[in-house]
Amino acid sequence: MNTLQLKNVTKIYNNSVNALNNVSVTVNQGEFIAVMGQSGSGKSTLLQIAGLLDVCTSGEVIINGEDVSRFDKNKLADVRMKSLGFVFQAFHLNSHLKLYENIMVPMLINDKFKSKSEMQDRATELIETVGLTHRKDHYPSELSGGEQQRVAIARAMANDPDFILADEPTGNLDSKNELMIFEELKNLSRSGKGVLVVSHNDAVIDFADKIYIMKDGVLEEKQNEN
Amino acid sequence: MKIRNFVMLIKASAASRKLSTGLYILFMAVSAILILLSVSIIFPLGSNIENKINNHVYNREISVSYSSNTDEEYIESDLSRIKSIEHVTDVYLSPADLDANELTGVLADTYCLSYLHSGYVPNITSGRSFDEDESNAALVPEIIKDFNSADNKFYEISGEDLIGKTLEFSYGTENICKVTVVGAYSTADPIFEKNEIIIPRNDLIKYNDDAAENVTSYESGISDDIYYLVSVDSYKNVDAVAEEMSEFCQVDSDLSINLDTGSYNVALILLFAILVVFVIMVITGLYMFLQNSVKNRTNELALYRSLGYKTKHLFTIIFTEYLFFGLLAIAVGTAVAAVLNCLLVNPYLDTLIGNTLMEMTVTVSPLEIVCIVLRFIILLCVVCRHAVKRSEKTDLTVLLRER
Repeated sequence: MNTLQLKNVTKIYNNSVNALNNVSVTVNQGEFIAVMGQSGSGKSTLLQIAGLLDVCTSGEVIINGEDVSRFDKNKLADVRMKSLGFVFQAFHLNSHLKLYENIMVPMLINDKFKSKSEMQDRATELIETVGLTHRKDHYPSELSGGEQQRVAIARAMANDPDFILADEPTGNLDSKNELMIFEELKNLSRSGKGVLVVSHNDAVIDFADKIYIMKDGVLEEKQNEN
Repeated sequence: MKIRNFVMLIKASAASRKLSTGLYILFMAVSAILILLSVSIIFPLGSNIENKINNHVYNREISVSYSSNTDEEYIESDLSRIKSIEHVTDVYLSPADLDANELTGVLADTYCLSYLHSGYVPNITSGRSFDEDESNAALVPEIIKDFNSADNKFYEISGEDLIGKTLEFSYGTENICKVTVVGAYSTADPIFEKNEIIIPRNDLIKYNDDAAENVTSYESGISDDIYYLVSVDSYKNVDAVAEEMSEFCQVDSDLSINLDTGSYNVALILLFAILVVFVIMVITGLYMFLQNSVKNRTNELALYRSLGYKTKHLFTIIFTEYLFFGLLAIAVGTAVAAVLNCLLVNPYLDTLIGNTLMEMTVTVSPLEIVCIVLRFIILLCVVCRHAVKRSEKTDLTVLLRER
């Protein structure tokens, strides 16, 4: 089974700010993990470390059995490309690329795709998955927030990663779209992906298999009554 | 990694930064124009100064004289020694120019029968030149300003119209010679005073002898001394050869052409300085464009890195984008430079130095373009690499900040 593990991870900024304090968490294939907490609790830092966007001060980040925490830049990039998919609060879609082109962006550097048509086929398949086939030639500015986030989820899936990391994915959305996004992420975990969501939105509780609460850099598992 | 994979990203990048892209193209086009114009003037000018002035035949000659009663064997011995000196290419007898009047009425003024120095090739504007072993041939100036003392007026006669005509000249006291005009030559070279009728040297030697026969040198106006000219392969070697010659013979003052090269040399130095300034401006401008571009694309580049893009991918994207638009700009700049050369620079040069020794035409040569393109590619490579390397320091967590 594929796992993403943070083992005794500590992150200290500027030799004084303790953002993460001996944090350990495991995301298994097919699991939906939610990390909740107030602003400034350290949950985004957790996602940064898990997503290899930042390095921990101490501890290990193990992805599929391999300790990646001390990899060089190029190896980290390879891991991000093959094993991780990101969904950001601000979507970060390229406003001058059509939807299917936005989804193709991660595929451009993946040698698995031998031609542009292969990439387009994959992008079309992913757009169908998120229910936006009829908008594939549209630009992000022509879509609602919820639709844009669905495209971002499709993009995160472009290279068929093992894990999806989502940072406040519903932060810019209304309640109807929030549920739609969490549902999409839940579908991904049902399809075998490990999903780690950082959110302060209580709605995520209904979708998560496990819930962790981050407070002052310390992570504690909360029993999910659902 | 295939560059064509990134075409989509490059197009999107250019579309999102139209103004910046437009400014970059404009900057590169103007830079190409300025550099091409400077280079296309500097090199011909430098070549002109070096070849037409510094290395002019007259600047590479040394005169040596002997009195008329010098033993012939002694002279031969000296000439033999001179010929053996390194860098000497020729030693030959130099006859005196002869003043002559044309008798058939074609030319009214007094003219100077002269000859071509060894190695000097006149600029023939019509007809042909003559071989040195040819006899009774002549070259006339392309435009002859003939002064008629009868009516005190100058008449312009086209040298081309005289081609094929036989002119009769009287020189010395009672000497007459006939020459057939075979060609007209350009008088742009300052060695010509515009009244020389050029004839083969052997003919002039013979006419000198005829003029000197039975009259004293005082009466003929021709010196008794015998002059030889020594040709040297380069103006740089003249002093060394003259020094060596002075050990055994009488070396006269040099015969270098009297042309003020100071202003041309100053122009050359100024143009070089301007070119250096342009080049520094291009390097600085390109660096600033790229640094600014990378800085303004922090989120975009951070996103690519979060998706697994490496430095080499980002380098390829940015380099390809700037290379494409840069080459486009250089193509436009080259076309504009070629047109400016044609419409402005060459006409201006023509009014400034047209029909002089320094006459030149500037063009944009393919070699210059290739050199500029290669240098641009190398420079872009270096600057792009530096800019992208700096972007490695970008904190990827900017993506997690709320928009």
